[in-house]
Amino acid sequence: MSLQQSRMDEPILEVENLQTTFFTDKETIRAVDDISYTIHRGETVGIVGESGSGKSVTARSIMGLVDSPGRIMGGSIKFREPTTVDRLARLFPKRTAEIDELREEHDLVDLVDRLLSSGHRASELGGDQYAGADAETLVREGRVDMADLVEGGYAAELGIVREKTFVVRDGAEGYVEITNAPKEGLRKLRGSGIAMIFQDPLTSLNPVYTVGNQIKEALRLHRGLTGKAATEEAVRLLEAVSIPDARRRVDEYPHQFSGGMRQRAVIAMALACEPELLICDEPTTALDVTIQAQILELLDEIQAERDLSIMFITHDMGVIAEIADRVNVMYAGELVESAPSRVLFDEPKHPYTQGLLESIPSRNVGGERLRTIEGEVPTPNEQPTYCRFAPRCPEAFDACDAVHPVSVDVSTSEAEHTAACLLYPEDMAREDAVAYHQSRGATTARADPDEVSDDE
Amino acid sequence: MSETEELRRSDRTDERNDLVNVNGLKTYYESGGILGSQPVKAVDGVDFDIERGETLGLVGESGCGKTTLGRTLVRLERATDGEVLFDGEDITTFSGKRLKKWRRDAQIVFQDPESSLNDRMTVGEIIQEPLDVHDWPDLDVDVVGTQKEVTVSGDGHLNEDEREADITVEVPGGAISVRDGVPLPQDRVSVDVSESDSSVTVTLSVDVSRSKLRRARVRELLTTVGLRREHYFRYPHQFSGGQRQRIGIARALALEPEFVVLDEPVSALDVSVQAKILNLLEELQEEFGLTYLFIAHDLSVVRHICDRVAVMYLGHIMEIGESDELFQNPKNPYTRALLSAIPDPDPTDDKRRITLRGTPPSPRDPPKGCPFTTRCPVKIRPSEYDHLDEETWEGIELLREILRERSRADRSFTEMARGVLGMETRFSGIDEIVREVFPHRLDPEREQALERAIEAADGGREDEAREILGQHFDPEETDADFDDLVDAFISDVHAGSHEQARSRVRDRFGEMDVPPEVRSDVETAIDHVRSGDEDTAREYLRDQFGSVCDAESPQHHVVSDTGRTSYCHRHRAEHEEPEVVFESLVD
Repeated sequence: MSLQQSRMDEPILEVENLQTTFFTDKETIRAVDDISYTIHRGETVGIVGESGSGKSVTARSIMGLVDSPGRIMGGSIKFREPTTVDRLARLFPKRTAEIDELREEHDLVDLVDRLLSSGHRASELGGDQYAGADAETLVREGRVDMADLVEGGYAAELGIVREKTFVVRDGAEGYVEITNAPKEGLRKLRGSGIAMIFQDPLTSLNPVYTVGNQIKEALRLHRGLTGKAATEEAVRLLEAVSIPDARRRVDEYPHQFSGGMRQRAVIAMALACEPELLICDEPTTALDVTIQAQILELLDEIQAERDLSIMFITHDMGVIAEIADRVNVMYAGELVESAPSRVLFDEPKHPYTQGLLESIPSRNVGGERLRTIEGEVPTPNEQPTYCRFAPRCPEAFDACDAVHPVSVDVSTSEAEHTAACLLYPEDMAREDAVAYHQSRGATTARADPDEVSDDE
Repeated sequence: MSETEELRRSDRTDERNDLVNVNGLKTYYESGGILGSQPVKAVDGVDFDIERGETLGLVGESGCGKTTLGRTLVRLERATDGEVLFDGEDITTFSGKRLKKWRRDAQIVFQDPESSLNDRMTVGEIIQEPLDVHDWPDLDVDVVGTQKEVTVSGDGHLNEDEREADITVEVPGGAISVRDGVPLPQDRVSVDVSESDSSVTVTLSVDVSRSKLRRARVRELLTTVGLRREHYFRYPHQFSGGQRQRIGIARALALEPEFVVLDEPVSALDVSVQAKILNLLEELQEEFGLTYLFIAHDLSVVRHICDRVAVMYLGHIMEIGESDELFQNPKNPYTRALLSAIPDPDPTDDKRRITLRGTPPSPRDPPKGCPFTTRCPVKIRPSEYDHLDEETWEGIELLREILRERSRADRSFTEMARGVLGMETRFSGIDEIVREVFPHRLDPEREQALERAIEAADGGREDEAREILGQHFDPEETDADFDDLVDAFISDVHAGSHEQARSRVRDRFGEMDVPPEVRSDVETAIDHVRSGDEDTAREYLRDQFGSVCDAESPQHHVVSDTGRTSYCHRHRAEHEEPEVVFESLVD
């Protein structure tokens, strides 16, 4: 299984404590509230949740497509694909940090010393057990490295890299920090690094240009192909997504395509840029099941052929079961459970996931009435000091209204399985578990949108 | 179970208590084009019955005619042919007052709760509208306990139809009872009964206004569908999708119908909300004894809620029968393919998916014979081609599909002109298509050279690869740019896709690799296309490779003890059953 192989690889995308907030006159909506996950090469990660749970905003944050009144308030999104990192480093040399060069140019102990004397605490750099340690100890014990200084934003504070650095190279490794990337950088990243397919193919296709023209535009912008070569490549791409009679189709307009065919054309456009990560936002929701089956099969083939990583957003648990290696369940802006797909469907741990699975008709054939989850998804408009699912949760107890649960390990096998619920860890007594959540929740303090000043 | 047996409808209706019988129903949409083009055959001859109190599911892909069928049953579309019997009366002939009266019995809930509610009306007004239109309540009176001639005067009138009257008066004595559905307190009604030798006159007086009664009814409906009374004055935009759908349901129930068409009522909703609406619909059915036609494309929903299911494709019912049985053991090839396409929310289930090729044909120009013939994976082959390999057969089917698809495509005037003048249009390029659909092979010597070139390119010796290709393949042989081809070949090899690199060269320089017995037929068809005569090519291919599936309409064969029927030629005795062929396909 691809899961095993990819586990050994470095992740291609790392989302850490991402927080995307929308500011409206009425309220502040924390659409994505402190979520973390990774996607490995060749892996398909599914994101499920009901409407309004923040699935699409997560995808848009990764693409750098969050527009006003929305803003990414905190956390980081690291894209670790080496060729993309190299490409962007070449394009934006002034905004690239070369860790190796920094190591040569600066003395680490000296830098840490400067940080400590400017008011930073040792515990913040090295962890609680190093509270009060001096710079030399921190460096000698390997608690602080140049890479950490860059990642934590200290390097910019010390003035050894520019404020707006977003590409970091460390030998053969490195990453692009999407949350720091300028507009121009995002443009270079989109398409050839990360491409996205939307739910309604008609909104991503321009009705007044032929399908071929639109694919050729992508080819010109991202691969510099023009003229006959571009046309040939466009035909080849349409063939690659199994559109018969591609040479004729390339000169047709989107309205002359059927729904499934349009989605294929959009996939062809996405592939034109040769992306490493493909984000699919409900790509089959508007399609019939037989056409959906064709598209899922196509994505499967393309993934195998190109070793593509896929992030697949849907509310259809059936589709997720079919396509995803790992599933992340979102609820009201938070990630409530994450597990390999088999494990999630066999042993859902979070009461929300359990309820969601029980309300699917096909999993409960013969049952008189479907089990439902009472109430509706709340709008996440304040910092959670409680469990957002508690009001609807059949297993809620008193502490659920007072303590915000953090993600804890609930795995019963080797596979990584986490859930954010006060019922876990299961082997702890309930009071201990609550205390555990409370203490961990306190250390991972979040940025409060009200406190952040208005710098762009 | 494959005896040819026509379904004997009359036998079945005797034992059943049917509310709706549909016989040979057709609904066509005429297009008003100047050339008098073909009508869209949305519903093209369907027969089925719905028993009182049951839920019949209607499933199929978009464009199969399921919504049109549902709308025709409630007279939102006019039937072109056939009859719809509602309680034994053909409603397609109804008009005027009779139609309006009948409309109270048959209601519809629409798919999209965003667009089926008027945003400028309050929820109360929306639900009350049908009550206003039909001047509800009737305040009709049944007088019981007398054989004499009865006249009713005052605020009420004598009940004239089979529905239960709103008010029942007992004679003598004048005891009053009000029906459950009418929110009229008994003490607000008074009657004055005067009896003579031959007749009884009942004078009714109600001291609550109709509009007040309607408002009370609307509030009652709101609680029935799980909303709150105070929602009366709110506007639709203040509600979530699930709540809006509840408003739509309340509106449909306002006039106490017997029959409700549910047109994809949960398709636009999230799964947890969907479950709530499904439960509500089931509860309402039990409470009010409703009969449902449940239209959906989500088959798992249908399986949960329906007693029987009809599967529709291109205006025809392909299979209809008991829902559990149909889901567990589908007989019709289309049902089988459709069911296998549903993603199963259980990753351990490794069922084999049958992926259908292409999209459904246009209902304006349906194929001759069986409607599913163009996509059917188990289509009957003419016996002389039984042994033909799968790849070639697929290729022929694909070629036919492409030609059919082309005949549907719009041609602009410029293109027609270019075609007439013999210039190249986007419809030329048959060679490309032939390369696409049929495998191509090189002679052994060139095949070897190809392998050597791949080896060289793989080992980083691109120049050697170029040289090998240059020696064995003549650029003059192909219309493509040879250098581009070689570049693409090398980059394919570098990307690790050797097979793609091979087929790139094979497609350009190889010979079409099809068995000799079909070769000349395929070439004749291709020649027809080359000379610009695609219609002849289509017909030629149909004559050569077509079977009973392309020629005759199938019959509805009975395929199980419960009277399930399937519309497929394969149930005839001389052919193998679909499931047998499916099994052999998988192996």
